Amino acid sequence: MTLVSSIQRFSVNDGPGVRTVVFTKGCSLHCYWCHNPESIKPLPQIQFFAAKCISCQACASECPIPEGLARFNPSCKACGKCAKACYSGALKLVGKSYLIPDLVAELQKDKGMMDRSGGGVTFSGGEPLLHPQYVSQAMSELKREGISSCIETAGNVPWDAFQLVLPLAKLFLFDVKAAQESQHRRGTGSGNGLILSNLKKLREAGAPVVLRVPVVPGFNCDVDSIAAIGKIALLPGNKKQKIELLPFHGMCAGKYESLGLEFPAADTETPDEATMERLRRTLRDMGLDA
Amino acid sequence: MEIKRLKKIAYENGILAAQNERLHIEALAFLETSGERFHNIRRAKMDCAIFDRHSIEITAGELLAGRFSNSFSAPEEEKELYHKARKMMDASPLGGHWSASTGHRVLDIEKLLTVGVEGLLAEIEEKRLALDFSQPEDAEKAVVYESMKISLEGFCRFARRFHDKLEALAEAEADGELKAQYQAMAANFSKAPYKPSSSFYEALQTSWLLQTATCLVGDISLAGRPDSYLYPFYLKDTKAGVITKEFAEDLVASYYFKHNELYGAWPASIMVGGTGWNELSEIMLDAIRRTGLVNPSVAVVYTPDMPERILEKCVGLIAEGYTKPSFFNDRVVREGLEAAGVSAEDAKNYIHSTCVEITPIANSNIQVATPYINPTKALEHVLGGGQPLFGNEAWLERSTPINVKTFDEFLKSVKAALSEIIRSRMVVNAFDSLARKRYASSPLASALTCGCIEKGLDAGAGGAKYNFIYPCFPGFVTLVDSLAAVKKAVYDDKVITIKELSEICASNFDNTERTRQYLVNRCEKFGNGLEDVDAIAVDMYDFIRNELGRYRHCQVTGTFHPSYFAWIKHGELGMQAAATPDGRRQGEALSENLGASQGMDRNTPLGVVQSISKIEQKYGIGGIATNFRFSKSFLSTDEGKKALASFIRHFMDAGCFEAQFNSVDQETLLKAQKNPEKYATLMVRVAGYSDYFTNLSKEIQAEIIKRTEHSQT
Repeated sequence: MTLVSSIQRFSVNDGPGVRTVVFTKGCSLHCYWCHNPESIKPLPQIQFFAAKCISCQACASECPIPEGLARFNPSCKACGKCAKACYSGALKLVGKSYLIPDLVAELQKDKGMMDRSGGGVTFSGGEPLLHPQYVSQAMSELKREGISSCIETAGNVPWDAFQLVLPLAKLFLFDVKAAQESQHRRGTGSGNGLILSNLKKLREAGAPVVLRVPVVPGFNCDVDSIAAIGKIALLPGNKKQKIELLPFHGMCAGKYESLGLEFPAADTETPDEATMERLRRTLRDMGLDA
Repeated sequence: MEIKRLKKIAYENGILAAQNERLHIEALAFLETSGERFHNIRRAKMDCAIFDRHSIEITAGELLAGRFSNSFSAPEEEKELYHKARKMMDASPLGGHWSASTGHRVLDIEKLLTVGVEGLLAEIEEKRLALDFSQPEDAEKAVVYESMKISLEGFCRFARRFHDKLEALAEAEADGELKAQYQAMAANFSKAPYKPSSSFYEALQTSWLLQTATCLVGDISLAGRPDSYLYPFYLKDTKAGVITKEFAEDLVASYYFKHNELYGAWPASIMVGGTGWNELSEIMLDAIRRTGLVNPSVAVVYTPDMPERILEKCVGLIAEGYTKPSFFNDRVVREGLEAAGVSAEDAKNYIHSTCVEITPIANSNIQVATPYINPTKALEHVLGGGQPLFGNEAWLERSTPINVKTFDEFLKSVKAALSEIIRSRMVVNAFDSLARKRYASSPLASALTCGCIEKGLDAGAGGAKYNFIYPCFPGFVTLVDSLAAVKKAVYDDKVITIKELSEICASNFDNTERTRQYLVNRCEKFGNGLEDVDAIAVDMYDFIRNELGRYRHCQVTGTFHPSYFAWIKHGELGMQAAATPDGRRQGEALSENLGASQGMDRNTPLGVVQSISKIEQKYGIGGIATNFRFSKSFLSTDEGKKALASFIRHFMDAGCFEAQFNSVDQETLLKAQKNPEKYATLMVRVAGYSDYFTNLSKEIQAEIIKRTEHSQT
């Protein structure tokens, strides 16, 4: 079943115009810097925001596990009873399933804004293409309502998944984290063979693609790494591939904390603007639209 | 070149705050006129005493005249007399202009510019001669005409004094440039305001003189839509090469500085745009940045055909941190005015008179925010079984039935109490209206308010074409959220009884933080596009409108229309209101405008639009304000600016009334860190990732605050 970790309105960085982003749960990569840790696991999870807790213990009295207060404990099945009991909103169950008509109805509420801004819906995650049936069905319903959809993907899924959404997607926001197989494996836990082959097929199919590169110091925040990605990005002929460099930042630390997870990139610094500009220039010099 | 110099003059001139001289002259004139049989004529003569005697000033280098002296010490021999006179005057109902919508009206400036005082006097004389005294009210009309005539003549003498002063200054001035400037300024008064104005400079000066004169006598009027009535002059002069665009820009900057000098902190409104965007409208928008002061309060009349370029310009101003312009939905406002009986033609020409209260220009006398009513008191009354839960003030004159068995009954009881609260305020209004009619008058303003000459009636007595009263309801959304909380907590989920809820509100949530958290977090809040609570809002909004519809004052057009904004009253009224079932503590501010309560818009600005667009906002001509906050970092990007521009269009498409924007600075973030509950929805964005500020860890918050500080430098 497809779970949605959140629906975020008024997004201006996930495709053209103002978009509503649907974050699905579950991912086939495990990037150590992940900015959306609540969307990695395909199952429901409990989030706990300590600052909001009033220590009333309502959660403990509802918890089905004998010792009580099982959150972040391996025996916790994320049944959500504690979150339901929580008075202050400190506990949340992340991961909600929507029937497609309900999801579409929710997204349609802001159609006026989408129309005015040239925006629409973007499916992100996690990895939305781990749910190709669900996502493509939602996209086709949205299309019927006159709402365009974009896909934000890490690309590490079978080509079949792409084929399902290919005729429906206005744009693919396609992540490329590293050009080198070994480097990619070190950062994400997987090789990049499937990703690069999907990218190639996507381009051959003529799909509009914007490439995105998270720039993570200690992983790929250097001219060589970025130039190597640039090489992959280059298109034949005079067409300029659009490629966006997104600087790593630690703002998601609170989310790791709320999930009871360690943030492996906690000590990583945000690259400064000068570095980002140097890397962008590297790509521009290669003939890319960065 | 001029702007720096003009700014310097403005700073040195400061604000015309001191009123000692005016009060002095007025009080002595009150004594001198005590033999007058008719209050209208007495007031006209008192106004004239001020026009004739108040000292006036010109600051070297300023482009518009209209300054009166800020310092005054009464002659020793008059001091005792003054104190006696002042006491008598203050004790007399004949004292002031509290007649009318002082501070909120726009007079018929266009008429003054086109026909001059000469034309007005001719019209008045014609009307006076037409009286045959066959009707009992003819004598009363004749008195009103006489008062108008006296005031208009006094106004012309006031202008003459500026003319003579400027000529004398020119005469004595050795500096050639300054001399020429004095001469040019004097020329503006050589025929106007008696004769019609013929140039842009003269017309601007004439309209400014009217604003100065009405403010000086304490009967404040506003500029309205200068980009409309001054444009023909601007067009003619720029085409003929009489003035350059640059000079017009300096004149407009001067005009803005003068607004700050004359009105101080009083929001003196100017509206630009609408169906007639022109070069002058743009000059007036650009002057916000050029002058950079609080006044005037510039608003934009939004129509769907508003040029994208101008919308981008407005967004640019907001992104830079200006809180102006605000945006009014022309279609909705006009429909509302027409529904209230304003003719289609008149409905095109209105102003937000200071905040968001809609006032037809040139033909209305409207009491805005009269009075402020705290609707949560009705809920308190029902929860308290007929007694307020906080404070001793009896808000209801007559008791109303209370039944709480079902939510429908509960709601009915709240409505009955609210109906009675409204009635008791209407009683106050009715007597105020009567007193205005009997004792107060605004002769100069009446001569320039369409309807008054025609009817031979002072504006205070109902002479204007339109005479609405706008009671204002700060805390409306607190009431709506509270009703939704009662419904869910007491009747749907049954987690608490009505008696318990009443007790915890009375105790200000003493030892019941858990329940308070439930009320805050588990009950729906207006402004998020949620069905149940939005339905309550629609129901209460319609209820209030229909209740007000039962009342009339002075004339047939004296109808009542609600306002939903708070100015600063939500704080004051919050002090007097008990803790409310939405989780608001005693003493905390009530909801401010029509939108979510403070910090409760958990679903972005789009959720706010979803909710408020369910309400028929056209019926809120008393004024509906909706605030939005965007972070500075968001608005610093091109995508952010584009998004805001589209959002404004979307907001208007959805039929909403007014939008005003703040870009959030460091100070707000610091406040949010200290008081996260009130800022639960403050969103911050950095390159592709966004989150609620209050969800972030302390360290990250500190980092963002630091970054904001950086982006401001």
